[in-house]
Amino acid sequence: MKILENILKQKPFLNKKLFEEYAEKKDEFGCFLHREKKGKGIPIAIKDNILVKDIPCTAGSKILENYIAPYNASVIKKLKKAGFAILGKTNLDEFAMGSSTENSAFKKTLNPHDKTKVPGGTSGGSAAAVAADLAPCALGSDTGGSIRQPASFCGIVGLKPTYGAVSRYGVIATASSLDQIGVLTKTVKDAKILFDIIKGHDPLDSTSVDLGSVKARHGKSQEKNIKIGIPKEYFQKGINPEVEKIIKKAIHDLEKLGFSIKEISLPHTKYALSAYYLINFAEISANLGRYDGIRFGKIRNKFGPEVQRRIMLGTYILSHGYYDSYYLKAQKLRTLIARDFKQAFRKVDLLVTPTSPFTAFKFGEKINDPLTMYLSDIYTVPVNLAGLPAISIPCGFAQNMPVGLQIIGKHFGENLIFKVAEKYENTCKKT
Amino acid sequence: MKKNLLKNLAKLAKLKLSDKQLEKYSKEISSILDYVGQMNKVNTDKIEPMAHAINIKNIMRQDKIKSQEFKNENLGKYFKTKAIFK
Repeated sequence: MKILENILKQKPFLNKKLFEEYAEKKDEFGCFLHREKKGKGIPIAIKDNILVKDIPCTAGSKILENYIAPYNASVIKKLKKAGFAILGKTNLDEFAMGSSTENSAFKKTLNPHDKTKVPGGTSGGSAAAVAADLAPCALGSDTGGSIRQPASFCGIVGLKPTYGAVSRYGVIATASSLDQIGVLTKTVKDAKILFDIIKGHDPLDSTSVDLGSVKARHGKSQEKNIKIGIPKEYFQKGINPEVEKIIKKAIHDLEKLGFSIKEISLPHTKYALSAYYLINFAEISANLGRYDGIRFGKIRNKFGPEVQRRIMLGTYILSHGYYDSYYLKAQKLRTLIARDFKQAFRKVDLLVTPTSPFTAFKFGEKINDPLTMYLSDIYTVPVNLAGLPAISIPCGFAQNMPVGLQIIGKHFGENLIFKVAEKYENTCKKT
Repeated sequence: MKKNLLKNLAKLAKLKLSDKQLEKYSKEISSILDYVGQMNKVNTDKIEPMAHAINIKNIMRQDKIKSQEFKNENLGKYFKTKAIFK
């Protein structure tokens, strides 16, 4: 019952409205007191853009303040079937747009390591809940780093699976060609267990992939002589020197574990952020057209500033005369960025990079300048453009704040990522 | 970005924005568009655009009722109206 005690003790610490209100109705919603009676079920926190039947799903937006989910997302069905108990919903940036959870229309989520700092975003509530021992594990969604970056800021494990590996039926869409549901946990092993439960083809999501056929095509993942590539573009200007030092040490540790390390190049990295955001704006402006005040929730004026800004930008770059120079150009760059990865994976099996150029920043530090905020996603967005799987694992502290190491794999190469991440994690435990 | 253009965009996006908001967004949107302008340094003439990360073909299914899941669970929550389309 440690978790329940923690939640009650931390009352003012987390997002009251979204977390507590429903945690109190445990039995009714199959939450974890239920477990005590039936002797099964691990509590899990769910990002508030994933539908859990009969409880509100706000996506962190005023527009969905009173929206009650009419059905369970496919991942929720799978979790329930496996015996998990839904503990509650966690805070996020409005419609998963942001990098700090400061864009939530409801309350503030703090970083458990330093309450003056952001937890990262957009799955900031899920990351903070797991890091603060308020939940043993959580689901999040990752459009441009929204699982990995908060996992890195809060010192936990966060996996963004391959695009198509997990069904997105029942997740509130942000940018559909980039969104993917993933897991936030304390250890790599937990991430693997949880991923294995939620993955797989779902007839209700036509972008989900039949993993059986993929495995047949790719064969067994390589077991011996694993080669790790270090993209040199990720260590150029902009990275905090202390973070760089810790990442370099982690790479050295991987070498000591017997992995061969090779410097490689992803030449189009510096354009990834531009391509990513343009595609993100365009898809958002289309996806959020459904909030017309008739079918879902309240009127469009309830959108927060970041959502309005992105809808405006998306509308602009999709309009006649600008489509080619912005949207189409971004899509072409996406091809080049995906090609960079493809070429790199001919030489190496995995890539290792920092998850974020810096550790968690202070509240208010970046929120007033959207472009500065966007730049904090620089190491995570290329992965979404290419649809690759990637994990962030803790690898040390800089200025007393956690640093995350990002391991990127080939499409559907989650198992190799887990293998290397677990090996690294074990050596960290020993020292 | 010019305010008139922005006003028109807001209209297209069905957002009612105040003059103050328009002014704020105008500056921010301009700086974002300036930043993404760096893309023009790359020649992409012969490059195919990419809309999706995984190469999957159209997914079809038989138009058959499979489960009763949604049939009765929302009964009582909604009300009937007269048909609009005939």
